[in-house]
This record gives sequence, C-alpha cells and structure tokens, in this order.
Amino acid sequence: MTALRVQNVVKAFPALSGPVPVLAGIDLTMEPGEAMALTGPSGSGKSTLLHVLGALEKSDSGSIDLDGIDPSALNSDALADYRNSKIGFVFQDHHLLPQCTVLENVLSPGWAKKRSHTEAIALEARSRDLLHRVGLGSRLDHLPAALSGGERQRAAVARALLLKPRLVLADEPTGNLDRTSAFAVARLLLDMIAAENAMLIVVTHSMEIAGLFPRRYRMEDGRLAPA
Amino acid sequence: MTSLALIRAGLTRHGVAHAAAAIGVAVGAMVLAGALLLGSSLRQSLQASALGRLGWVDRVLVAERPFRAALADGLPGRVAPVLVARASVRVTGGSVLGKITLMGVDDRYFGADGPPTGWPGDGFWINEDLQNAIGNNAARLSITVGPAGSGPPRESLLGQAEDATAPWEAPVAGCLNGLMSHFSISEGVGPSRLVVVPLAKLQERLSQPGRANALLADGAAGLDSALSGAIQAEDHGLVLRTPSSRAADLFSRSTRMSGTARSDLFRRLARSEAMAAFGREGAVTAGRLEHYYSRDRRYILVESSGLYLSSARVASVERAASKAGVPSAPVLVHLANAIAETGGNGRQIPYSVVAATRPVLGLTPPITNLGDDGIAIVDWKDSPLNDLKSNSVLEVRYYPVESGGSPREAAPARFTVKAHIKQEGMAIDPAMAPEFPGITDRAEMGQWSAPFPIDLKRVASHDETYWRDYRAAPKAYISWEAGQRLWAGRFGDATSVRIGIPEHESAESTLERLRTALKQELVASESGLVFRDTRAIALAAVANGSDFGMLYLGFSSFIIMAALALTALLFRLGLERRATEIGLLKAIGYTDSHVRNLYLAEGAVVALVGSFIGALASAIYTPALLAYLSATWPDPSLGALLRFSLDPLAMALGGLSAFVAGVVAIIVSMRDLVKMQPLALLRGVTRLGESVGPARSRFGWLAAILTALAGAILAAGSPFLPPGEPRSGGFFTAGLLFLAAGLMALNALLKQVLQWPLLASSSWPLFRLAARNAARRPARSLVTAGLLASASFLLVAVEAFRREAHPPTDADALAVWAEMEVPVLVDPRTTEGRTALLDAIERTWRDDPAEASRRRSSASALLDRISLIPLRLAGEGEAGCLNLTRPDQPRVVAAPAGSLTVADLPVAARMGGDTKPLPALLDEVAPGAEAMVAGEASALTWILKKAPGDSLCINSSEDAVRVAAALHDGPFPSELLMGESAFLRMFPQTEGWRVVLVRAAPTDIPEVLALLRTAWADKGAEVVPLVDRVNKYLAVENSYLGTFQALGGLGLILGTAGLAIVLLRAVWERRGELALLAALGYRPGRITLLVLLESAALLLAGLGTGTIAALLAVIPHGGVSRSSLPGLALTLLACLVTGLLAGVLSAAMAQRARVIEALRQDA
Ligand SMILES: Nc1ncnc2c1ncn2[C@@H]1O[C@H](COP(=O)(O)OP(=O)(O)O)[C@@H](O)[C@H]1O
Ligand SMILES: [Mg+2]
Repeated sequence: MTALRVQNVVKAFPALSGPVPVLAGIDLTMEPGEAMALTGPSGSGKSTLLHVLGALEKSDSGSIDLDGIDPSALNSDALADYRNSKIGFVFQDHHLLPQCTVLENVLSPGWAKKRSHTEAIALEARSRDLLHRVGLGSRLDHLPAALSGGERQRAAVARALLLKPRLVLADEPTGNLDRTSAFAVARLLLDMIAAENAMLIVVTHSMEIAGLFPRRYRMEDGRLAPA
Repeated sequence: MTSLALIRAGLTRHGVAHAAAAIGVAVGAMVLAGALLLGSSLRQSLQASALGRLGWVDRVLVAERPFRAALADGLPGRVAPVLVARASVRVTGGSVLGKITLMGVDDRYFGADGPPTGWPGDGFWINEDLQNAIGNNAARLSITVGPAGSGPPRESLLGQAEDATAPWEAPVAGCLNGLMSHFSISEGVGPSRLVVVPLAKLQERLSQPGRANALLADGAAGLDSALSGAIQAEDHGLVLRTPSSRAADLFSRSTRMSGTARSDLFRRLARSEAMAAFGREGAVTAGRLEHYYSRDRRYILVESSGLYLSSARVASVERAASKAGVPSAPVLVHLANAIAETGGNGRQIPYSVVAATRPVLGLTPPITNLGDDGIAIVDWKDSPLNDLKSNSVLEVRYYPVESGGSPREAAPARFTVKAHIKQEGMAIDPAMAPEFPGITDRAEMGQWSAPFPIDLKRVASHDETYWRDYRAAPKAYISWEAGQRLWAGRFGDATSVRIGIPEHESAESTLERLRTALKQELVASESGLVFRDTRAIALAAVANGSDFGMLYLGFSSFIIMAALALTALLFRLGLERRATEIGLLKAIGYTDSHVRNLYLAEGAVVALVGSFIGALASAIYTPALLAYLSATWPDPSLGALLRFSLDPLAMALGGLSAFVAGVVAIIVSMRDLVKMQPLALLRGVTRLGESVGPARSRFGWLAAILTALAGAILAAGSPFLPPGEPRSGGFFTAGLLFLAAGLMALNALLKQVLQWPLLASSSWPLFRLAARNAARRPARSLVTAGLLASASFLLVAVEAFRREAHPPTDADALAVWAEMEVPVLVDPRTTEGRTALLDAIERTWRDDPAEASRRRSSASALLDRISLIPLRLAGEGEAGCLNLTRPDQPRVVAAPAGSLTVADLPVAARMGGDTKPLPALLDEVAPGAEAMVAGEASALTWILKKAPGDSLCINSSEDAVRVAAALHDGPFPSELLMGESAFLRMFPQTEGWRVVLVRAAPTDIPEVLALLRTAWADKGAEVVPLVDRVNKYLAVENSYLGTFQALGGLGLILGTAGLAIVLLRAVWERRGELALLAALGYRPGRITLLVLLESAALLLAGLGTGTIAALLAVIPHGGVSRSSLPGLALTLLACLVTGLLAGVLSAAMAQRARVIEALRQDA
C-alpha cells in the first residue's frame, strides 16, 4: 500500500536566460511509517522538492498522489486545507509566533478552521501531550523567546504533528543546532513518525544525521539518487 | 562620508517615508495657518465692511430731535447735515423690505466726489445694496417713512396716534455710486440699504423745514468746541419766546385768521383791562400788541418743541435762570375732562386746562399753600363752581398723559378747594398752556380737532364764551407736586418754564443773559448733540467681535495634535525600517547624540518641507472654509462681505509653529530608538524589549476609572455652570476626561489582551490572535486609536450642539414675530387697537365692500383666538449671532408687564441669588436700581461677552443694565429683553411698538401672517413665524459647528490614513508570520480575516472611545438630536468601512508576496 507516489515531477524557475530546471523528473514512493533523509549540495533543489510536496509551490509537470489527492489539481482554499490536514512542516528556522506561548504555537494550526468545542478540547489535550513527548511539558506557557534553539525546534516538531499529518517535511531542521540538539531533534522526529504512523522526509547536510534514517537519497541534477 | 552627505543620502533614499511624515506636518501647518488666516480674513472683511459704511465720515452726531440744519455751517472741516428716517420699501408683488435708511442730504454729503451725475433729479436715489434687494427693474418705489422724532410725543394724550403718513411714491432717480453709497448711520457691517433724497425734499415731506437730525463730520480739529459754541437752546428742542415774539406770533396768526376769528381775538384782547387802555376794538396794531405783552406779560417762555420738558431740562433752565438772576416758574398743564363737585350735585366744568406750578409773583397767579391735595379755582363769569365753599371736595377727571390712541380715564384725582382766584393778571394768561395746533388755535371748543374723544354735548355756552375770551387759560391750579404726581412721566415734567424779566431790563437783554446761562447749563449729550467717534467705535466693534479665528484654532488643536502624532508615528516607522543603519552607525563609533543629530537633521528637513507646503496649502484651505461659512450662513449678504485676505504673517506664523511642533514630535518619536544597543538594532529590533511578559494593568484600570469618574462629575455638573464659555469648557473638559479615560482603559486593555489565553477552551481564537497582534505595538495602536477617537469625539460632540427650533405645538405659544419701521401707536390689545387693525384690513379691500366685510369678520374671529403682545424696540445693533461684531447699542425689546410667561422664556442660566420668576423680575422697577435684562445665551456669550450677573451699557447715555438671565432658544435671538417701565426710563423717546409678538395656535399661523402683513403693510411690517426667525440665528451656530465638524472629518481622514499606514507597516513587518500561517494551512480568507479583525479592533476601539466619550459628555446637555443621528452614524460608518478597506488592502498586499519568499525574508 503506497501512501505517497511522486511521478516525474518537473520544476523549473524562470530566469533572464530562460527557465532553469531545478527538479528534472522526481520519482518517489513512500509507505506509512517510512522516514527518509535527503541530502545534496546547496541549491540542488531539496527545498524546492519539499515545497512542491507540501503544496507551497506548484510543479510544472508530473503527478503527486498523497492518499489519493494530487495537490496540483486543487484551488487555493483546498490547497490550504491540504497543507493543514495532510502536511506537517518543520523549517530550518523554527518560525514560531513570537507573541504566542509554546502551547499556543503548537495549537496554532488548529485555528485555521472553525472547530467544535470538543474538537478544540481534544486538540489542546493533544498539544499538551505532544509537548510532553518532545520534552517541553514544563515550558507550555513560555514564549519562544525564552527557549533555546533546540527547544524551539522541538516545539516546531510538536506543531507539525498536531493535526496528525500524513507527511512531515523537515527542511534542515537541525541546521542551526549544536550536535547534541540536532541528534535529539532528529531522533524525536523519527520516534514521533513511528508512533503516528506518518511519513517523514528530512533534508539535512549532516551525513551523521542522515545515517539515522533507513532510506537515504541524494539530490543530483534534479533527480533523486540513493545515497 | 560627511554628515551632510549622510543626511542627503538618507533624505533621498527614504523619500517616500519622509514624504508621508511631511504630509503630517503639512496638515498640521495647514490647519494652524488656516485658523490664523481665517481669523485675519474675517477681521479684515469685517473691518473693510464697517469702514466702507462710513465713507469719508469719521464722526457722527445723531440727535434725538431735529435741530437747525444751519448748525453744520459754522463747523470746521467737512460737516454735512442730514435728515434721517427709518423706512421700508414695498416691492412690486407686495412684499415689504424693511430696515431701509432714508436720508435727506445736500451736496456736502457726497464729500470730495461731489453728487452723482443727474443729482438731484426727480425721485429716490437708491444704492446698490437696496437695488440688489429689490431687483434691478424697480422704476418706482413706494416708501413708508418712519417718524422723524418731532412734535408732541406720539404716545401722549396729545400725540397724533394714527399715522397720517401715506406711502411716499416716486420714481427711482438713479443709483448712488462712490464713497458714500454704502454709508450707514447705524453701526454694524454688511449691506446698508439706502434711499437718498435732497435734504429740502425730505424736510418738506416730514414738515421739518430747515432742520436736520444728524451731522456727519470728517473729524477736523476743534469740531467739538466749535459745536458746543454753535449749539443754541433751539437745537435742544427748546422754544424761547419773549413777549414781543409772542405778540408778533399772535399778530401774524391773526392776519391769517378769518374775519370773525380775528375780530373775536381782538375783542378778547380788547376786553382785558390793559388793552382797553389802547383804544377800541379794531385799533389793535402789532405795535400795541407788543407794548401790551411787554408790560403785562413780562416773562420769557421756555417751551419744548416736543410739548414736554424733561426734568433734567427743567432743572437746567431753572439753574440758568437763577444764574442770570431772574425768577423762574415751571408749569405743567393738562386737560381735565371734568372738574366736578363730588356728591350728587353734579356741578362740573368740562374740558378745561388745569395747571400745576410753583407760584412766583409776576409769573403765575398768586396761589399759595395748596398742599398736595389743594386746588385753587379761577372764578369766571357763569362758572358752575363760582360759589363753591372752601374745603369742598372736587374731582379732576383726566386721561393719563401716556395714553396715546386709546385713552382711558384715570382714577379721578380728589382735591379740596383751598382758594378762589380772581380772573386777572396771570390767571387769564392763555400762554400757561403751550400752543397746540388743532386746539389752542381754534376759536370755539366745538371746532377742536383733538386726537382723543371729546363729548361736545357736555360743553355749555358759558364754556364756549370762556374759551372765546381766554382760550386755554387754566380754570384751576394745583400745586407743582400734585401736578407731578398726576401728569409727570417719561415724556417730561413740565410744559413750560416761565422766566421773569427784571423791572428795568429789556426782554432782549434778559434773553441774551438767559441764552448765555443756558449754553452752560444744557447738557449736549442729553439731546444727543455730541459727535460720536463713529470710526473708532466701528473699529472697536470689529476688534471686540467674536474672535472666530481663535475659537477655530481651539477646535483645530485636536487636529493639529493628531497630525503631529501621525508625523511622529510615520517618522518613527521610517526610522525603524532603518534600524540596521542606525545600528551600523553606532557600531562604527558614532555617539548617540551624533546619531540623533543626523536623523534630527533629516527630520528637520521633513518638518520644514511639510510646514512650508502646509502653510501654502492654507491659502486654499481657508478660502474653502470661508466658502463653507458663506454658503451655510443664513444671511446671504455674508458671502458678499467675506473676502479671503492673504496674510503672509499668519501663514508664516502657522508654518513656523507647525515646524517647531513637527521637530519636537520627531525628537520624541526617535528618542528611545537611538539609545538602543547597536547589536539589537543590527538584528532589526526596534523596541526596548517587546513587552509580552505579564504586565501590571491594575493601576492603568484604576487611573482610567478615576479619570472617567472625574469626567462624570464634571459632565453632571456642567449644565449648572454659567452658559457660554464656562459651560462649553466644562462640557469639553468632561469629554476630554472621558476620552482620556477611554484611551487609558484601552492602554490597560492592550496590556491585558497580550495575556488572553489562546487555548482551545477559549472561544474566538482568531479574534484573540488579532487582538494580541494589535497589542504587540501598544504605542502605535494607541496613537491610531487615539487619532480616531479624538476625531470622532469632535464630530459627535459638535453634533450635540447643532440645534434647531421646532414649531410650537402649544396653542398658547409665541408663534409670530412682526417687526415694523413705523411703530404701532395704538396698543393692539385695546379695542381701539383692534379696530385700527380691522379698519386697515377693510381699507385694503375698499373696492369690494362685500369682501371687505367678510375679511373683517374673519379677521375679527381670528383676533379672538390669538393674542398680540406689543414690544418696544430700541437700539440698532444686532445682539445676535448674525452679527460678527460687538454692537455698541444693542437692540433692546420690552414687553408690557405681565405679558410674557415663564414658559415663554426658557432660562439657561440665572444670575445668582434670584429666585423670582424671570418675567416678574424683569417687570420689577426698583427706583435707582439697575434694570434687569435677559438675552439669548449664545448672543450674550459670543456677541456681547456677558454672563448673568454682568452689567452692560445699552444706550447713548451709558445707562447700565444687569443681565438677569441667559435664555436658551428663546424668542429673542438677537435682542435683549427688559421690562417696559425700565425700558421707558432708559429710552423715553421711544414711540410706540415696533415689534408685535403673537400667541397663536399652530393652525392659525398662516392666517396670522396674512392678516398682519396686510394690516401693517403701510408700516413696513416684516411678519414671520417666530420659529423661522429663531432658526435663522441657530443656523449661524450650526454654520460654525459645520466648520468644526469639517475639522473632525479631517481628523477622521488623518486617523484612518494613520490606521492604514500602521496596518500596512504591521503587515509588512509580520509578513513572515502570515506566510507561516499560510504554510500551516490557513486559507487566504482566514488570513485576511485575521488582519481585518486587527484593524477592526483598532477602529472600533478608536471610534468607540471617541463616540462614547462624546455621548457621555453630551447626555447631561440633552443628548444628540435624533435628526442628526443618521448623518453621524453614516460618517462613522464610512470611517469604519474605509479603515476596514485599509485592512483588506494590507492583508491582500501581505499575501501577494509568495509564502516561501516571505518565510525566507523573515529569517
Ligand atoms: N522562487 C525562485 N525563483 C527562482 N529560482 C529559485 C527560486 N527558488 C529556488 N530557486 C533556485 O532553485 C535552485 C534550488 O533551490 P533550493 O531548492 O532552495 O535548493 P536547496 O534547498 O537544495 O539548497 C537554486 O538554484 C535556486 O536559486
Ligand atoms: Mg534548501
């Protein structure tokens, strides 16, 4: 049973000298609970791939099928819903809302839609639970500014998982972290994915971190190559 | 790079941000300079108009009675005698145009210009102002001329009550032009409707040959002393008659008599013992007559051209006599309808003169010790009272002196017979009574033509015989004091003063000495024979007028502050974008003050450019304001008067102040920014710590509550403050306190909002997030909300002062105002007055008798349903808001005692200590005490600058009155009201009633208007519903308020612009956050909603605070009128919509940026 099927996805960016191909035919399949690491030189298109998968960017051609949905066929509202319910993003910069507490930040994807009271209560319980699981159980009411980099990134992981996404996309989540924190965050991601039975793609420059992942790919010339 | 280069680079690179900040300064400068320009334009317009109405004239003398026009001849400089009368013009189509000045002038009037070509021509010369009012093609005019102020007081028994003056019809001879074509003898500004005719023509028309009642002078040196040297007793209205002049008068009159009358006269003269000595009847010659008068009537008679001599005049004459060393005796005569024995006997004498005098040998009959109730009877042949015993009681029946038109006999005066006087000497002197045409010149009583009813059936043949022989010689004498009690009054105390001629002196030399003494004793000002410094008064009136410019500046301060706040905000926002630049400068070693000076220099350039542009823009803004004022002003003549005058000084002053204020605002705005750590700045941090931690807001709330409480106390108390400035001040202070409390509360709320949990258990998470966003930059949010709050406060608070009078619903309410140039002389409340009215109606329809009688009976029925209240009127100066200057002699009206009720006079404020009902208080006359007046509150405050309890002078003799009460929307928007008796004491010369108020049911009003317009057309009556008149004055206030509201509107625009900028800025700053939300799966609409909610929160907080503060302050003052609610709501709604649009716009702009780029930039 394949949960994610990416076929021949092509993406080029316009430039003065004509389109610059970035993704030159990506093919990828993933099963639930699978985690993969993506490496490659800077500017090779790793982020672009994550953005296309995460429906932040449209591909030029090719198809994506996540649980039977192809984001390229969706309008902007549907795309938003798709991102909201299917995708969990973890950015290199944590991108936490500075005016909201850790708990509120984790909850924030929940506000994208009107929800019933029971739903909302359940979400809050889940965020608390997630935060406990990422080791921030005692910092629920802290503002992001009061956290360390690793803690912020763990909060971002919790936020990405709130709505039980099918696919978690992490773009260099450990890039700004010291080695210990980086490992902690990477392990956390793997553990959580396993527990939620979701899929995970992590972009990283660190071969050590990549080594933690069962599947490893390298981005080369716009194509995925096993690493 | 040098500092200068840095500054130049900063200015050019950040041009847009600086331009935005400069706009704030520009608006401030424009409003500031505009208010100053408005003030100076108004002042200059008014001054130009006031001086334009003077022409070459500097000083004006307006006398109470006509004087010799020749008085002008000997005076230095240019002096023109004029005869002035009020007039009204009937325009084709029947409508009447009042408030016209009719002047008889000679060539001197036109000054250096000389008379217009075609002068004098035939007919009326009119001026442009009148021509504009009546339309261009009026070829003939029908003019009703008001009284010229001579002859017996028209309200006295002997006054001519009914006007014989038919309208004066003549063609228009031409239109005046030049310097004197806008002349006005009365104070004020604006158009002066003028009709000018040759002096001689008007003298003839008004039967004032050789006379004038005003002098216009150019104020040459020595004018006053030359005048006082030239004034003669006659110019004071005195008539000096020596024995020989009286003899000559009599002889010349006799030559005009019919044969029988002449022989009757001479028979009477011959019958007197003295004359008999000169020979038989027919031998009377002028010389003999003079000889007789010089021997047997050795006295000089001082009389008045107006029948009565005032007490001051009597005192002056008597003082002059004693100075000249000659005896004097005042005489007051009155006609007794009957001198009758009390009791059943019924013996009586009809229609005889009774004299009151102080006995002086040779001047009066010998009557002594009459006491207060004694009477001396002259015994004459066949007199029914001849054998009356001493101490019998007699009744003197008479009409009161003040009973013009509709005499009612006064309560009979009882006297005890103390003496009988022999019919000789002064006891047969007809000159005891002054000559009175129509009576004393008639040979028989049966031929009397008296202005009061006479029952000739009561006149017996012996009465006629007496009249034929002795004419008006009194038949009884009472003491001077008793006479004063019965017949002295506002017209005067005496009918003549007799001056003795010493034994060995000629009458001429006595007269000469008397004249000299009189010159010293007569007070020129009592007759108005003094030049007033009209030009100075006019200038002072303008200078003391309500300073609308300052008032406007006061209101503008809201907007100026708002504009400065906006400047500070914008400049700050601009600097915040350059945080890294500042950080870099500091990092490479610039000191704080160096950095500050760098940016201050930029700011100064911004402020300079802004204030310069703003000052220039005021030259557009102010004319627009003036145009608005002219357009909404109820009197169209204002538009012609108001001229924009470019006052570079005002503009420079406004610009400079705005510049200074702008620089200060800029310094304040960047104060903390330059002090920040360079590293923080380099990271883009622009605030000393985002205060997201727990904030103490309890104190903030407490302060807000205390401030609101203070506002509430003041608001509740302000209706009890004196009206005008204190009350408006109280109102506005209360409003500002509410406003401040609202903003303090908002501040506290913003702190609290940051701590509102955003958890699942709390509802409206998105709204809470938006509110938290608004709270993140509390200073910005407060400034925007504050801008909006003060603008909406101004808008709503000013609206509360907008007023409109409503038509009366009460059947008993005062409903109609009729004002005329020719006074009503018969009290319209009396039967006679009513008859006169009905007769006038009938006359209008004289061609159709059936219609006439139908009209008469319907008018009569109408008169039964309504009641008329005649009002006295004095003074020319509008004491109402239509007058932009301060009147020197304000209009004063007086209602008869008891005619106005408490309900008629809605009191706004009373003088402290008085609890009596206002009408009763005004009617009260305490001798020696100041008279009380009431006036419309707005007029008192803004025009006269008086409050209840203050005193002010209202007539030329500078008598003071005290303001007892201020009225609110009362029936007298443009005049002071006083009691009738006090009024007559201050304006004794007033003739009749020039205003009539009507109580009528609303349904009767149209009929009342038609009735009075018809009946009083020949009096030049302008008849209007009272509510229209009151509204005309309220419209002035509303016009002012409109300009204030325009300011409020400007404030709203500024506030909304500020809001838009703040939102755009906030969204730009937070575009990364918004991109994150998009990445987290927020739909675009939801993100827009988030931004929108934030702008709505600020908008609602701002508008709500301002509106609620204004409403709270307004409630104790009666709230906002319902009719203005839709307009207000619409304005606020428009502001809300605009603000929300700004929110949508900024949200859209936020989402145009692609999510990924935004996220990347945020890093
Ligand atoms: N919006 C864009 N417009 C044009 N070129 C882009 C855009 N986004 C990415 N690129 C280009 O695509 C290439 C791949 O970028 P990216 O996916 O960010 O690489 P990586 O994440 O592997 O470092 C780069 O050469 C980059 O310049
Ligand atoms: Mg990348």
